Amino acid sequence: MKNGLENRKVTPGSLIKWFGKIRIKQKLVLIIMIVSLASMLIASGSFLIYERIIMQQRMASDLSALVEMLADNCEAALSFNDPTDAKHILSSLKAVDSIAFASIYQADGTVFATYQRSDFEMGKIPEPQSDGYHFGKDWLVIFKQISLGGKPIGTAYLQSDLSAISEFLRQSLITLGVVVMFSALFAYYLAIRLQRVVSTPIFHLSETAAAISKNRDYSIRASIFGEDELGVLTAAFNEMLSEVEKSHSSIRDSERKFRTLVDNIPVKVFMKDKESVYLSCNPSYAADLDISPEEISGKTDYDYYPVGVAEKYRADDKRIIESGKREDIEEEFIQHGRHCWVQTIKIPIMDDANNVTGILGVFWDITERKLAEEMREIHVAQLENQSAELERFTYTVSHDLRSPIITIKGFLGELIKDAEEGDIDRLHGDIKRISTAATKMGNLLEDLLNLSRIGRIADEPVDVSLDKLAHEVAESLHGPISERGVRLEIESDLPIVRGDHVRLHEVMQNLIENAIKFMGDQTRPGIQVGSRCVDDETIIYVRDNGQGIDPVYLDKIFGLFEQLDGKTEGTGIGLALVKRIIEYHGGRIWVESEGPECGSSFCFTIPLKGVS
Amino acid sequence: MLKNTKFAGEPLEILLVEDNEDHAELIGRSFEKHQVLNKLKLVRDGAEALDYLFRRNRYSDPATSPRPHIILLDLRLPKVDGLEVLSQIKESEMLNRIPIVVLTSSKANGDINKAYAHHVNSYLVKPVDFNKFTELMKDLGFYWLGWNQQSGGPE
Repeated sequence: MKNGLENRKVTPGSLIKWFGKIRIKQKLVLIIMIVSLASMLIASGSFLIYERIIMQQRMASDLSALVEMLADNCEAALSFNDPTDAKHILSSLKAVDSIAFASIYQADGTVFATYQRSDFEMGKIPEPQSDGYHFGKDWLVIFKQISLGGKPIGTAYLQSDLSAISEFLRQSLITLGVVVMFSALFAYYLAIRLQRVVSTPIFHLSETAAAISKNRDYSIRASIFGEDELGVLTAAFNEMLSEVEKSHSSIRDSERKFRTLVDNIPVKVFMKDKESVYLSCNPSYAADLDISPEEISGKTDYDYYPVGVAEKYRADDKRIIESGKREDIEEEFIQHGRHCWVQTIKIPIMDDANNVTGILGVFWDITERKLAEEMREIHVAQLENQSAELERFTYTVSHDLRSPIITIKGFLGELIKDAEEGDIDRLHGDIKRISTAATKMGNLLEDLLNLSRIGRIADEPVDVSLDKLAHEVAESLHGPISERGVRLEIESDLPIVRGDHVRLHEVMQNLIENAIKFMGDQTRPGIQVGSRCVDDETIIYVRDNGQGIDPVYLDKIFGLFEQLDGKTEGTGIGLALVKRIIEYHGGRIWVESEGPECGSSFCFTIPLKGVS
Repeated sequence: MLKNTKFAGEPLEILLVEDNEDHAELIGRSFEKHQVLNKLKLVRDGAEALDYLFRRNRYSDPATSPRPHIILLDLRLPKVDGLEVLSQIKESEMLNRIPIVVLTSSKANGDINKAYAHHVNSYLVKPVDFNKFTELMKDLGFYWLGWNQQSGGPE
């Protein structure tokens, strides 16, 4: 209540404030009304004042004439000291309404005769004064000396009321009031009509501005009324609008181009704020996340990725926001639950003051490249392996093929000597050496040829029962087995594997043959062929209780032409061949031995039947 | 023909490291034929050669493993490779003054370079031709066991 009252109190301040609030139209009308009313009032006031002065002057001159006449008429009465006559003369004043009181004084100032209007009650009669008039509040009074022959004999006095003037002024006021009222109404009508000349362009301009800011439509133009300042203003406004429209359309154009680019490149694009919260992303990225691009706003990496991955992304974001430097990152990414590799570029977004406000990220799938790189590395390693093997092969071939030739030629030379010397025993021995060397050379060539065929010439893979295979091998090695008195045990539940039957036969034969060959001094030689399961993998082994292998040489024995024992017959190709066959089938081979005289187990893995 | 003049009839110890028994026999006969007076000790692989020289395992008794005056070394050897044997000998203060002659069938440049890098004293390739073989053995005996001045033990 108090506030309301205060608000209603009119102060210059609140008046100005209120004036500021009202519309231009109202302001114009108000100003016109104030001006026209003020001028009318000033004119009316001036007129009244002027009229009053004129009336007073006229009244004073009328009264002066009257008192002059009265003085003349009363000259005789005073001379003859006849108050009755004087009173009679005074009573003639009845004809003049405005005279309320009159009196005649003798030369000594005593009242000689008086006149009083019937409705008037005179209080104290004033003292006679020198000639002249003056206006009081309600009265006009006038004194006039009465003289006879140049000698003053008395004074005449008149007192007139001012009711005539008041009446005239009252009537004038009413008339003027009516005139002013009608004039004001007419002025108001004119103001209402004429203010439009000024207010309409302004109103239109303001309406236009409001419409533009509401609809963001910069193609609207304000109409121009006339060529005055408002016309200039409106033209300038329109020109500004054209500029705005132009720059707005160029911004929209560039925005559209940018949008089209971002929406259509296969690269994923996203924006995050300083807290790593997503602001937006392009359709390509949204498709990866199985969402629409709008959905990403307000989400974080935790909404789409496992915690570990999300934390990694966040840590990257934080580092880049702190450093303000862009980074190129190769990282893991999960797309539709599939792990893949992406190349990510994260760029800090700066404001005008160079403060980081967020992050722009672009990334693309490089899984194929990564795979290709991996494949290339594997291929390079394979090639390196192959080239090393080839080098070793040519080296050993040159050495190991020369060896028997040296032997053969050497002992051929010896034969001649033996014959000359007639040493028949030595001759026989030397012939045997030649023959052995020739056989060895033949075997070597055959084995080398065999080795070189692996991987080049292969039979269709078939199901091979290792159980059956082992028995076949045992059958073919029947001679050496019984010769050395070996007890050969073949496990009955050996697996069925998939591979090249002939090659696998070679593997089994080589391993069993080797076991027989390196039985050493064992008096109860035994060989076991079996299998065991370790970590979902079936391992096939050929175990013997023979001379065993020093652990130092466990890796060496699979090398080409490697022989641990110079005395042993053989080409040094057997185990290299076995290893190549197993590896060609996608398996592994190794040997386990506790050391010399502890026996050894040759173990290998090979894909089982039904496993690709 | 050639007598061991320097050591006044004292036989020279030759250590032959050779895995091929036939080659060892041929070398032995060549030396015999040319009357290179010597005691030829044959070891069949690199491990045995090292055992002999460093007097380990079955050669731990110095009586069974006298210091050789020269070592004839094949490169492709079972168990321990010839180059490895060479490098171990040349790294040993005790053995590095013994002349080592590589006698191999390998003409590979890699082998030759590696052998010289390991300070081999001579590198010989076994000739395929019988006459050249015996000729080489003869020259080898004359040069290394005759003309060549050996490092004669402690100063």
